[in-house]
Amino acid sequence: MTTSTVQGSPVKALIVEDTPIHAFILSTILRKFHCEITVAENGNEAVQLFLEGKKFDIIFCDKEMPVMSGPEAIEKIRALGESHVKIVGVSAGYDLEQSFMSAGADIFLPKPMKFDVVGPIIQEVMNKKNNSMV
Amino acid sequence: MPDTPGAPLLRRRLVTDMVDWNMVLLTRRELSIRIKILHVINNILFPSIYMPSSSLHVSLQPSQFSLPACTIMDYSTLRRQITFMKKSFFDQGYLDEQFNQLEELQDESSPNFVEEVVALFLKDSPRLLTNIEHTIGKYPQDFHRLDSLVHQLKGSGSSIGAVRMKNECSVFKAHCNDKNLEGCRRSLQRMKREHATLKQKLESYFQLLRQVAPREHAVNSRK
Repeated sequence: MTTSTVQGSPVKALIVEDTPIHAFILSTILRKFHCEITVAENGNEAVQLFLEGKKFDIIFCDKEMPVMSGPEAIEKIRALGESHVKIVGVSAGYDLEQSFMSAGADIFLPKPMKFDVVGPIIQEVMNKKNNSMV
Repeated sequence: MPDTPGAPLLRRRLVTDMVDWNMVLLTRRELSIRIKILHVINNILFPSIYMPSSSLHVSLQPSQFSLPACTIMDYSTLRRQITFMKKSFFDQGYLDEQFNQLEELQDESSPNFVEEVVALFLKDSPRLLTNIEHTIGKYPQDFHRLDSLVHQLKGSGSSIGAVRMKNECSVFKAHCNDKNLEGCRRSLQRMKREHATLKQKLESYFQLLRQVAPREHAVNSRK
């Protein structure tokens, strides 16, 4: 996995995941791309972060979680006007892609995640972030 | 300290034999004799290393007997055992490519990453299995809850490449879908057996890895 192409200010990543092992693996992957990582254990916590004024460049969001599911949280986050943030739906079922995309996700990644697909996504977010700062 | 004549050769042969202990089931008498020999050799060659007499009364679980990391064990032999053990996991269908992906993530910044991930799985999965068993015993049956629990277990198992666990979870989910309680019960028993076997194998694997870790860390530090 190459990380040398990632440059500029760190990408602010939000992981919305209730399963510790998945959150740990994804955190480790994102750390290799020098991301600033925040973890929310369910959709409601993720929405609360945005209501508190926190800003993120990318969200990795699981589907089935207690309190609030991933798609429901994505809908609420988009309704707050957060149209710029890249949202990646992550779940074990391929048939769940539509529920993420309908809610406002940009990409769907099935679990277990292929680690080499994360790099290009982070690079794209990084490029967009640096271009907007110019 | 002067070397006892014949002791290094005896030590190497005993060490080589002890590496095979993870692969060969010994009788209690054979195990006891080997422990006593090792005890005598250690007292002669390494008088500062104390082996309490209780170590002579070990159980028939060779993988639980830890050797000092790389002070006695031949490094290359140990590495070969680790490679062989990992290959057997793949050949016997216990692990799949996902485990290799985890190992690719491991580096100097996260040197124990794979073991930490597996530890998370082994910590969380018994809770899920217990909850599944508890839910199966409830009446009326809650197949939706059962499906949700097994979905979590399947996801965790998939994340470390535990393919047999993952497959059995799929079987369980199919029984849930059919509302087949007896099928769920049988599948749960198989899941528990697979989990116990996987746990034992992975714990043995990481125990061997820990024995080469200090040497590999020293080698990497000199680079």
